[in-house]
Amino acid sequence: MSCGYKDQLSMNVYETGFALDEAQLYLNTHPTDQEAMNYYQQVRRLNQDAVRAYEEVHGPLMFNQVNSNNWSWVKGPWPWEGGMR
Amino acid sequence: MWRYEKRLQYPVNITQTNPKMAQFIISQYGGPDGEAAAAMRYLSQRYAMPYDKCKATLNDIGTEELGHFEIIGAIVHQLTRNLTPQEIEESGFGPYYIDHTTGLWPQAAGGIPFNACEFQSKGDPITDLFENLAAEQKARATYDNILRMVKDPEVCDPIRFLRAREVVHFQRFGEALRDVQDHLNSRNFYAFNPAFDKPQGKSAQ
Ligand SMILES: [Fe+2]
Repeated sequence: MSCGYKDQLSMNVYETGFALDEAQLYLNTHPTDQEAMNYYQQVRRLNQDAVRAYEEVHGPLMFNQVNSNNWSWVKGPWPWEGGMR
Repeated sequence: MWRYEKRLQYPVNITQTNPKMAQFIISQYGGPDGEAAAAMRYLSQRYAMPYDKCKATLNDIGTEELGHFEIIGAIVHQLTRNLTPQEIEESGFGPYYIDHTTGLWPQAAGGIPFNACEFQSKGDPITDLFENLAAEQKARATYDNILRMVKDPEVCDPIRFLRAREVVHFQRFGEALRDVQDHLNSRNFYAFNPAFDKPQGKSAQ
């Protein structure tokens, strides 16, 4: 974590999201690996919790998570602007 | 299909601009071993791939490469924000600036435009997977070259992440190649092209 993140909520989204990316690619070539499946199930839950906690404070990560009366999807900063870390 | 997740795969937050480094790093945006070529290569190759594990691998690594394309774009963008004409001239960023101001355009470090001739989609699973193993090593070597030039830890950090992903992708494509070979005649992997020929007998699938 040499560059740091905006806050703990953000770090949790990044870390659990990356764990999911890794599990996905590994399982594609090892789809019968039970240990990897258990790992996937575990990080999937952690990621769901992390995303929910993040979105409550910082707004939606996916457009269809907008659940207010105003279209908060357009609110910056956008990821490439450096505001997301 | 794809839907946007409003974050990068790895965070980029660069506080010091550096147009000279931007001009080096843009090679991984649109250069010969860059992320655009990687995404186009794998996402194009998946149509001819006959085996499910390999289809998933091409699909999902191709998707991750789109995310890397975005990370490189973010790095170049943040390295070239709020430049003065004097900084542009002194850094050597001038030729790029004349054509694109500080917008992003896919090109190699030397200015050569992004070109589909930088990758292959051969329609032959063994050929395509060997291409991908080489591509991952070429991208890794390019990141090594970039890391020898870059000193700013805010830039090195995401570049190191991307370099590590090339190593993981190389590993996964190696496993995919083994899966293709397991489907073929062990005495002659090249007896036919499983994406095109329809041989008789049990060695086909
Ligand atoms: Fe890659």
